[in-house]
Amino acid sequence: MAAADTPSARTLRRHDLCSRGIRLARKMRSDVADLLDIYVERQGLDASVSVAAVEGVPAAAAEHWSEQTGTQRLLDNLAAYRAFRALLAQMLEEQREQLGDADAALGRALAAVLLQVSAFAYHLEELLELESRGPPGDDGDGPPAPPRLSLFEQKLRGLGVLRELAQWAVRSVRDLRQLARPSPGPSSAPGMAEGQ
Amino acid sequence: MFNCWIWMFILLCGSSIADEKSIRDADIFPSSPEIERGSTLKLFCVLGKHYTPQRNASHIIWKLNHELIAQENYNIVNETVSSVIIHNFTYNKAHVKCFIKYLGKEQLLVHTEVKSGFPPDTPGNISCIYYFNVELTCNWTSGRETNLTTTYTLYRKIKNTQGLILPDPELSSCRSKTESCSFRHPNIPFSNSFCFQVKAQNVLGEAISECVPIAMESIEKFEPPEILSVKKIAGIKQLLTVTWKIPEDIIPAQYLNCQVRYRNLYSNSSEIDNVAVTSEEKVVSLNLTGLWDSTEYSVAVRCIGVESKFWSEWCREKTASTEDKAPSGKVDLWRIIESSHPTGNRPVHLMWKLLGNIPHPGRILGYKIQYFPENNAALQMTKITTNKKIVLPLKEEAYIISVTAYNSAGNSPAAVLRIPSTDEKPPEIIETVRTVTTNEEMIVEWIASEPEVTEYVVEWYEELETDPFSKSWQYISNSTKWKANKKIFKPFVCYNMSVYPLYGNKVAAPYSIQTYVQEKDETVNSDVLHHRLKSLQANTQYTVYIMASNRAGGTSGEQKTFKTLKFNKEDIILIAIPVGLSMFFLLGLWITCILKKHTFKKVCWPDIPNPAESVAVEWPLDASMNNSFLKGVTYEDKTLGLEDLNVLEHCFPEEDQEGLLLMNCENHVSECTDTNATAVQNISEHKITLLNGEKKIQYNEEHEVAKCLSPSMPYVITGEDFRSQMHSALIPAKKIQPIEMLEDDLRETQQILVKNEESDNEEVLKLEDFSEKTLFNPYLRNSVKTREFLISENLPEHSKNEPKKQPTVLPAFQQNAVGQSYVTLDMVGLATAH
Repeated sequence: MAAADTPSARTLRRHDLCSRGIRLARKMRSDVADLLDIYVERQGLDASVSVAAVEGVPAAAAEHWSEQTGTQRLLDNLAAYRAFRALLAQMLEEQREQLGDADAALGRALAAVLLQVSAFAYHLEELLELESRGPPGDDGDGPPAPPRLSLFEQKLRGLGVLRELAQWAVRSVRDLRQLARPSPGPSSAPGMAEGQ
Repeated sequence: MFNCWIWMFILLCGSSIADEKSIRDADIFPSSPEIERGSTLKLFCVLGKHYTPQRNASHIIWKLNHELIAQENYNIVNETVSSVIIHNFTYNKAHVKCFIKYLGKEQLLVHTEVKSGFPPDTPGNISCIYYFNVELTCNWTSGRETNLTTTYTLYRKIKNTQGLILPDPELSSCRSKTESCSFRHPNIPFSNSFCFQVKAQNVLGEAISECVPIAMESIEKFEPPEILSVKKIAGIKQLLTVTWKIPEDIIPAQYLNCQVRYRNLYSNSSEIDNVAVTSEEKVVSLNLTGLWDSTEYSVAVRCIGVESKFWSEWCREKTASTEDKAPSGKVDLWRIIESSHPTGNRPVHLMWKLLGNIPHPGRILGYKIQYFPENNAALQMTKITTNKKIVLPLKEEAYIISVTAYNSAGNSPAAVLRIPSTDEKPPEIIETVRTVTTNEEMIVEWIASEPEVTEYVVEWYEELETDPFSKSWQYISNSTKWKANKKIFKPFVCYNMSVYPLYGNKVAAPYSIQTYVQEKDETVNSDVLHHRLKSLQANTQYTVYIMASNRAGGTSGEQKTFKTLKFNKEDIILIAIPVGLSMFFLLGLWITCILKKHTFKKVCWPDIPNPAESVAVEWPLDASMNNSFLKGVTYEDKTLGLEDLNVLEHCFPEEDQEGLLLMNCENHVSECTDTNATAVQNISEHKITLLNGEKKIQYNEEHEVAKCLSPSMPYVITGEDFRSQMHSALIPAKKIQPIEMLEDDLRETQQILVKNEESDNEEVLKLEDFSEKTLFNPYLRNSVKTREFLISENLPEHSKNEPKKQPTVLPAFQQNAVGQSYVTLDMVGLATAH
């Protein structure tokens, strides 16, 4: 534990967590891309349909992305994935209500992404701990409950959530790469993830 | 106790339900219970309503498997419910049965299987393997066998700063009854924060393990890579380029290590090259260098994530061949020249091997041997072989021989040797050779008189070896010393060692010595003048010499060579004893067989009386002809009679030979008449040789029965022998008996028999002149022509039927004869039938 407290050990740890986080984000992006295909197909949607921004989800695109601090990046990511966790759980519930076990494959894929999003959120919390900045409290409520939507609107909303999640997975990889870059201090061990 | 009350309550409820329906005969509660080993078992048996009031719970008895449980363990709960208590139940599995016993009869009502076991131990040694995008499988050890149905639940939890979180109990757990469980795609999210925990649960309790954090990168195993190509590059020797594809389903953004294994199919040796790649490189290439020319290689690749401990499987091998190139070095060539045959030919044994200093000799397709007389190159001969040896039949003149190795790209440089003519005397260059043996090495050193000679061949072989191709050799350049590992020599074996100088392609005269790589010294005191060498190897040649030593030095005596025997005394004894015992046993067995032959025969082939064969008296000719059995006998006796009838045939000559035959017959008969038991025996033996099968043995061994049948000859026949004797004696007589018997003769014979019978006090049936009757040849007075067996006249039927034709006497059947006690019914029957 003592070793973990030293600056070099902390740098190594941060680098390691970033590398692993990048893998998680890339795997998540890959899985969300697969899920999107399944979702569009099973819900009978047009893949090219445009969807309005989902309420309660921070936009992946940031105006001054390069100017953000590492902690800010992590906080934005954490907020986004906590929101996705709640939205995906809601989607899963709606999907089960609508289809029951009739489309178990979609349900399993959705649940797996939900689990992965949860795991990534915890991973971000661990990184924030390392930054000497504890994660903000999670009230667990997530975004405000959406108004009662029709079935089609629910489908479109789900599509929007998944698309935004895919965007965030890409942004997370970029954020974590940025975080993994050595600070002005001595260079840390090279990581494959940061080079990607 | 509380449980008991619960069961009681259930039973009472059950009884009320049973009252209503009363379908089953009986019920047992609890059904198929599982209890802790060594604990107390309590079961209830509920009797069906229709049994009452004739039968009630007091009629219930209990059995554990097949054993009755003692009454004191029973308890009558109410009219229809009986319970039983079994203390210290230690069976793994047993059946408890509920019977009703009424009027002495037991009837099985119901039974149940009871298992006993233990609560589960805490699962341990959790390990997992992550087949990317396929499944995540974890294994663990469950500890002591519970013997009860135990369920295991694998939990996949997220371990973060706030503790353990089970995100979705349904998705994050996996149930199993074995020590393994798998999450399958897509329920295998990738995370670094997972820990794995196993809970074991059975009726006796549960145990939960620690949550073991396992990074999924460390347990990743992916599909083997795919080799896209293995090919040579034109113009580049000893090189192959391998290109393979990284599997797509791997954890992204990680480093990989790949191993390329390439196997030389010619030498069957393998090597492995390591390559570091990233998961983002979809296709990877590697040049394999330092390969053999013109050689096929089989290449396979496998990869692993740098953090993982599981390699992928090797991919399917692909094969390619390196660029062709002619063998670059010449072979090591040596020769053994045999002495000339009288025909003028001399076999020259050529041997060669690939040079050891060529690292990559490449594939060799064969060897080309060219040779010609030194003074006539036009007579060059060529031979091809794939072996590394050949015998050339050369003449007495000098020859030049060259050997080249070849493959599809060309020939190697030629190795050339000159074979001198038979009358040549090669120069002697080596002055002396000595050998030194160290712990590890055998060193051969020599001194040459001509220092310009720089190349030598050391040749060695076992002294007793005669096959030229078994000789070993070694080229030595720029040195007069050769060191060899001692292991290539056998200990205690004499080696002939020769050093040949080479100059150009010529071979000078060798210098040869004999040496042992390993000798053994045994030291004895100076007053000992004989010593026994022990622990020598069988069938091995040894050389022994004695060295006398003192402080000033030592002197060796003359060397003596001897060869040990193949077998020592102990070996011979060990071989001889079993062989001797076997022979002795076989001899004993043979003697026993001879001595106890009769007994063995009786036991194995008992003599079964055959009424049809019981010819106590003379059978009628026509009857015998009609009897199929007797036909056979007659047939045999035809052969038999040839001997026997010599006497008689001479007594029945044809008309034109009467005079001569009468004389012969008279002489013959007189011989026969005068002959006593000796003659009888002789004849009997003749018969034995003519008979076959069992009869032959029987006659020979049991009875030496007189067949010559002198009128004065006493016959002694036991009851058992009776029929066989009659059979062999009577029938021939009958066949040659066309002459009617005279009544006077009959009476005489009867008298003799009566006399003999009166004096007979033994158990044997004693017959004197039992069957023979003297006949008078009409041509020869007072001569005995033939003999006939006589049947007793006191056989009324026989007398009535054929009174004159075959008058017989059978004194043995008379009353009060001692031998009569042996006369069985069938014998009497035979007699009367006649």
